[in-house]
Amino acid sequence: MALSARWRKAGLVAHVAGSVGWLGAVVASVVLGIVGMTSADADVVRAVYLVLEPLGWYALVPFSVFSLGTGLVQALGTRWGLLRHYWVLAKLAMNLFASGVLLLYMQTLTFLADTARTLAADGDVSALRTPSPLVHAAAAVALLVTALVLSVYKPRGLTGYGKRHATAVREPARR
Amino acid sequence: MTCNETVCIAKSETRAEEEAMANLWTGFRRTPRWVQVFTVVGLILLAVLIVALLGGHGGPARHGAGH
Repeated sequence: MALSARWRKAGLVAHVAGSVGWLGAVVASVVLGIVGMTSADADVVRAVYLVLEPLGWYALVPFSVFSLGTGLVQALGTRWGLLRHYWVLAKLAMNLFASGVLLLYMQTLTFLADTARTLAADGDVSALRTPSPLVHAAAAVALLVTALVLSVYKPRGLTGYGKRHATAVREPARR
Repeated sequence: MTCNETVCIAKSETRAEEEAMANLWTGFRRTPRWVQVFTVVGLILLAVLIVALLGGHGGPARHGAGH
């Protein structure tokens, strides 16, 4: 089903906005991860792990789902298709992988927030410090930037299905 | 025909599997270089994820230092 030009552009705006929002939220997580690891102020460290949880549930997860949904609409509603070009297929796989890992990782962020909540004000925050959020967020930035590069450069390469589809479209046109 | 029916079926299945693997490899070699690199990196990431999940890193217990 091909979208009209107006809907295609609206869909593209939504997809870019959702994906950029996701990247921004992940970069914020990187910054928080660094602060959580390096800050000497115990209150700041506790605050970092308290903030990471709502950032995940109210920004990272919704943006990832929105990006996936709008990406599917864009792929299925335009000439690119979902399974015709390797770059689209690669982006889909990367989005599913990142969203899956994020949903699994939300357990950890919830656990860290609970620990920060129960830690006494004068408690030892070294028990809270972990490089895990920083490592995961940095990996997510690398993944999302790769997806961004694929979107902009659109490297060549048709899948087997894409080649058959292209031939099928070309043949009736010749007759 | 020197094989009985069961042996023949087993041999043809093995041959079909070998041909399928060969076709898969040939198809992979024909894809653009960047797709080959992506596939290898993706498989490594997937293996890391599976190993991490099997090692109990999917849950929160291992992540909180000191908990």
